[in-house]
Amino acid sequence: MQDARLKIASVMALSVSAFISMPGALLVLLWWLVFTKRLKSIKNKRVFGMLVIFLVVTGFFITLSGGPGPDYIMKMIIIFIIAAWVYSTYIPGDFMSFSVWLLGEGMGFEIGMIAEMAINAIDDIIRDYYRIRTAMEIKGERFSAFSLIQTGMTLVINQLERADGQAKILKVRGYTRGGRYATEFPFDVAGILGAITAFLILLVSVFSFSDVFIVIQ
Amino acid sequence: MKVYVNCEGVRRGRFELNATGQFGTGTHMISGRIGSGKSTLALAIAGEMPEKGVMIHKEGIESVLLSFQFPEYHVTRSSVSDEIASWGLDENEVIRTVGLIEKSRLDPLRLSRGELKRLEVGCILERDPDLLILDEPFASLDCMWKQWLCERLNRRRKRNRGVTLIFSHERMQLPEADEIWKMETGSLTGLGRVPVAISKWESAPDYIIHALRAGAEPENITMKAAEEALCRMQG
Repeated sequence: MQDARLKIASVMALSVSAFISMPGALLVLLWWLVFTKRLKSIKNKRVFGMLVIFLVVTGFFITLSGGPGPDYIMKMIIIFIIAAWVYSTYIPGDFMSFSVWLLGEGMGFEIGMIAEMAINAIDDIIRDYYRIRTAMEIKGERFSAFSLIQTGMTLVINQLERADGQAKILKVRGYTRGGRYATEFPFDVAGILGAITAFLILLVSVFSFSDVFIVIQ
Repeated sequence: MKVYVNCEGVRRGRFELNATGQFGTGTHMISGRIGSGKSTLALAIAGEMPEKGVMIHKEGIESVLLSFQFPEYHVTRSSVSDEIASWGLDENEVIRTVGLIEKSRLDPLRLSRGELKRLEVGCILERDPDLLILDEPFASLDCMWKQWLCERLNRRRKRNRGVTLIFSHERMQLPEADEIWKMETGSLTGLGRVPVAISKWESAPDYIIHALRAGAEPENITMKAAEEALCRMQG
């Protein structure tokens, strides 16, 4: 999917579909199997595995407190694989193009720029995390609850320093607000088919969710 | 002691690393521009790159330490003195060496980048490993502390202590070296032993270029060696 508008609209439709109903979540999984490169679309499998563990632990506690833990785990894993897919297909400028197209060169430009910076920060954070783990190994330290706090602090401080640096660069370059951006949306048949299917899934999901709501009433 | 490196066609995203060479006992200066692959090679030699095609063989080396370019990565404790202790070192001695006596109770992440750099580099030097890998050790240090670091590295070299690999694009102050290497777009090239390699070093610091252009022949890559060469030439 190359058109950023289709990509972002599909992600939104699929995420809502997976979140509001179980049939919707299963259809989203099917969509992922058909329209993406499946496991290849998960760029960093180690990080994804850690997120899955986190979801399973959270789901376990939801079950213990009487909630639908397995449903939560299933839905959230599906939402995360969709997020992983959009992250792997991200082309620099996607969010900027989409945002400027939707909201114009004032607010759209600013939101797009923030989104682009945020997605670039993900790569920085992952790289920082691995470097910190390596540094711990070098020292012969084990991963513990305390080291997790220390790691979190280092990640946050590094990100704040980078953000500060970026802000200073923007200021030096005379940036105040908004800006001009030439949007580009390549025509792509597979993308159109994928987006249409995503919206059909959203419809099915909304209707099945409404049925559940009627039954409860 | 020797380190054999054989990394051919190692891919990391769009970047490709090609490095083959032998690093014997002594100080090796590996220079190159930002983004040329110095940090990636440093990681590979430290044994921290799991990618296929990375072959590092170490002979007679029992301890390896890598100093990252960004000192924040090394921090695992919430006070300067505890941070030194986490390296298994005597905090009183190291804290004096790195000039942070008054900041011993501070969180290392609240130090300036330069202070944190000298704290971590100081700890790593104090551990004195067989294979010492320094990734941009001079970055963030002021002139005085760069000089301090050069002196420490020169002392290690004089003791003939292990293999020291310095990955740096520093152009103002350098320690004495035995061999010079060049990193360019992911490829490593050995320029040879010092002093013969100095004349082949295109990206040498300005003071070396100046000395070479004047017809002098520095015996090493330090500023002092360049000045001495110029003095010798002028009689």
